[in-house]
Amino acid sequence: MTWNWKLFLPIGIVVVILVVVLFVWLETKVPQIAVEKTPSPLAEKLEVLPPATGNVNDAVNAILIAVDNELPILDDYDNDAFLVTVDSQEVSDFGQAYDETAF
Amino acid sequence: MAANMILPTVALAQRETPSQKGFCARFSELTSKLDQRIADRQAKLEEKRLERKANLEKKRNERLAKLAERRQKRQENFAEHIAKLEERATTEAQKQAVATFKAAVDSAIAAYKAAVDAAIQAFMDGVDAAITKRKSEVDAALNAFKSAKQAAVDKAKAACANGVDPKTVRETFRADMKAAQEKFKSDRQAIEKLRTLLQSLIAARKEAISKAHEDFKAAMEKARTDLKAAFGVTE
Repeated sequence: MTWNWKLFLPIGIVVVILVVVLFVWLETKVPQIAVEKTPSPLAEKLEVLPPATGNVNDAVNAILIAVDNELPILDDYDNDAFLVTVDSQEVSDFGQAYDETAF
Repeated sequence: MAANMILPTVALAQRETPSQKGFCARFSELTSKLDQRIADRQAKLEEKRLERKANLEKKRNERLAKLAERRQKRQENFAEHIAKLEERATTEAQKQAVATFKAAVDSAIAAYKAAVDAAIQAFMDGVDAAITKRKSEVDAALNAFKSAKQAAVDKAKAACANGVDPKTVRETFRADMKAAQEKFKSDRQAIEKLRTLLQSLIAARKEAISKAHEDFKAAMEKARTDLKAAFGVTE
């Protein structure tokens, strides 16, 4: 019984510490990972621009960020190309209008 | 004599399946069902085309509105940065440097915007042209199929009227329709090659925007260096 206490107490402490560390890590990392995994072309999250400070770097970086924020919208134009062939199924179905077994 | 004329017909009728036997009698009914199926499927295609047109227009308007909104925000934010930089500028040289910086940024933004807008317009024009081309090619394939069908129907009707064996009429009709169907299939496969053109449109737009973006960044880095020098900032 005494031997069990001596063995399990340090293990328990280590487990509790690991759980706390994991929890803290998840709190800080998971939201960022989630955002990266679900990119939305027209997402609102990019719209906040750095405030003016009078610093040259801040001014230049703000413009660069603002221009980068437009890129997802421009990438979204790809979807127009996919719309061109959106009627493929209907075109294919037309060829099946004639059913040989009906004749 | 009469019996000799009738007997082969009776013997033939005994060998025919029910569908073969009544092929000529039921032909009008069968073709009108076929015509209805063709009309239904063409209507569905038209419906899909209208849906595509509406969807395309909606998406484009949404993007243009979003882009205009972000550009407006960028402009407002930049004006705030310039105001702060002007506050910080104490000497005439620094004030002039801020004005030069602003002009350089305005010019870089204008060049970037012009390049991006041109790339978008070229892409949209390309997509519209691809849709027109596809519609024209699909319609041609559809019409070819319908013409081939009509020719097969007319041929079968004439054969039935001329007393040709219904089995032969049926086999000929099925062979003609099979050929029409195969031709339509091959036309459709050729039309689907349009995807290569669409990929090249996407690639061209991306390349143009990427170049505009790189040019813009280079212009901004020069503007940064020049303004930092005027303010005596090293980092």
